[in-house]
Amino acid sequence: MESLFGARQTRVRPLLLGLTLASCVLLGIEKAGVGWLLPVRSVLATVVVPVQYVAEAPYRVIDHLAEFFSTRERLMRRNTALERELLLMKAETARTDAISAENDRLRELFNSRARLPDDVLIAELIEVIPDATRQEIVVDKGGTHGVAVGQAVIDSTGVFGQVVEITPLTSRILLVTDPSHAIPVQVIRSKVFAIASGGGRGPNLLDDPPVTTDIEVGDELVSSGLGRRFPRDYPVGVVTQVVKDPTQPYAQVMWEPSAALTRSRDVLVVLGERRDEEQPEDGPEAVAETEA
Amino acid sequence: MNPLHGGWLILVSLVGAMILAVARVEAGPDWLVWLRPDWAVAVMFFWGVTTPSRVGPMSAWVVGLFFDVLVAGPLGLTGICLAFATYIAKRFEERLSLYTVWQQMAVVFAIAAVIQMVKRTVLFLLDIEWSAWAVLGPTLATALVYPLVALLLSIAVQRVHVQGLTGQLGRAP
Repeated sequence: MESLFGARQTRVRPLLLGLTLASCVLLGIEKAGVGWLLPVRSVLATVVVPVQYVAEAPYRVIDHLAEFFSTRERLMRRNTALERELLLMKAETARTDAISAENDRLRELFNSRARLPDDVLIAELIEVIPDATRQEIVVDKGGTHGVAVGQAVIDSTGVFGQVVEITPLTSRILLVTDPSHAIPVQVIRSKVFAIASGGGRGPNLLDDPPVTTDIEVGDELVSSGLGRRFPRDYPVGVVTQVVKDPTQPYAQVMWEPSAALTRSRDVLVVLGERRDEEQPEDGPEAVAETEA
Repeated sequence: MNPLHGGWLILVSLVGAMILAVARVEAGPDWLVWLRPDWAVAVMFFWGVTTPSRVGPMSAWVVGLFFDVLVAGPLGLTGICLAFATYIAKRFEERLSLYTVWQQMAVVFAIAAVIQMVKRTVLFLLDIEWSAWAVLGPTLATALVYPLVALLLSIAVQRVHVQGLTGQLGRAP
């Protein structure tokens, strides 16, 4: 290869043809989805990490400045509020622990596996993919931190998305609102199962629920865990609009994500269930597992 | 004092283009996301016209790989787009360097239009949603920011001696 920005003249037209061919080969490999280019991508991605940090720096600086310039009084007030919230949360956790212990005992009675808590990893946003038709972000944790493709990503309020690509230091996350994303959900109130698709910049819809489905505005959707990609029972969204036309076979149901997709800087990557030594046993979930 | 005979300025301008390419605009109004300029095309076109002996399709293609990874696009796509932009710049360099910046802007508009069409078509083939606004917005934005890019880089070029300059910039003392 000639040196980058070197001063040598080259015959341009055959070169352009060659480069077009090279691009076509690369794009063909990408389209085939065989993953041959992953090592190349990993190396290049590691090189551009500083750029991502620099581009994200102004937002970090603004956050830090806001902290720096907040008054002592305001900090104290905020601290008190947080302590109070912590206390409430602790009480709530204690209660939840008791309930989940009871739940596990009941599940044992039904001969199904006790649900295990999930291991999570805190990751920070370093880039929003600059394409208006895509809803993807890059976070600062990657393969070396134990992140793997397919892991679910949540924030404090709900399901954020899933990991679609990892490099050693970063990983790319597809948000639940991306047009190519869909997540199996369950309506808490009526226990109906559905699939929630992303709508990009348009409205997010449920995938063709029959017009007779019991679903109303304000219904909460949680991940159903079917497909084994997302852990179950995390909030996914809230139904905002239901259009039921009796002449149509399907209802049109719009939903809004629960997670603060455009405001969260810190997200949690769910590394998987904390599997100590327990093996999955027979039960309703074993069926889903074999299907997946 | 002047590493790479001024080539560092080309590198710095490309890193600047990378940073701008991923700068977040969510804080602004909603329509701003559709008007993201293709900074790489603007910068590479400028260097293609002013220093055609140093920036060619080959270097543009390699630079494109880094942009592809940065914006999580398919490898090779930005490369061929940038190679096309520098090819046009190199091919018509003598004429283009006599053009005023506004005439160059019109050329950039045409090049950006072709590039955005190619980009969105390839992305569509790779199962990413097609959108006419995603072609029009960046095309328009790239043409609009080109005079600014050209102005800033011309000022920088007058401060730093970059080897291989041609046209008016090359003749400047």
